[in-house]
Amino acid sequence: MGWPPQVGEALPRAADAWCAQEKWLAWILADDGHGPEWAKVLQVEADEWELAWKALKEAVREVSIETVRSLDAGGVSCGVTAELTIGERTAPVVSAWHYPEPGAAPRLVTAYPTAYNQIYGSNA
Amino acid sequence: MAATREIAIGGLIELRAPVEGAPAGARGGIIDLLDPDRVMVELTSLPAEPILDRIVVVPVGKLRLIEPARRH
Repeated sequence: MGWPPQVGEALPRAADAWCAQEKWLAWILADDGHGPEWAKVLQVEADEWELAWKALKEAVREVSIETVRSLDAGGVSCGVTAELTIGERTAPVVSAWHYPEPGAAPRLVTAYPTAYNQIYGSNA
Repeated sequence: MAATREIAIGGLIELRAPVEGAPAGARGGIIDLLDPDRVMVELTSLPAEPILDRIVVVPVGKLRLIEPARRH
């Protein structure tokens, strides 16, 4: 696998993906961030961030990169969509991952459930 | 200009000027602190997908802090 990552490829070093707890608590599951979406779609609350992280990290190992961007600040970001199952609920979750340099492990930037409807192939 | 001491993950912001294709006035949250002068933001006022179009690196001077991050 070359550099930068390409659309259609798997996330490089997905097994080593990492994140900071603060990202989940202060943004992804926060009321001002994507907390309401996670709570509504997957019934995940802020104190369950580790559950969501574990599910997300596992799910993105199986999907293909959908978008790639080179950042002016350096490094590359990749966007993927993965089906997450948490408890009795399953939903597609879109996430962004940042690689500061070639060979680095992907760092979670943000993630939220999306309204994509696989059956009908739309966001309706 | 947003006070540096108030810049933290979860703070709500508005762009004062266009940045990396995102329009002035776009709003969102601070998601990473890159260095004292730059942050990464997610512009939630932009369409949900493609996700990477919402993620931009912004000089602190181009941000207006709408609401500081809440303590958690």
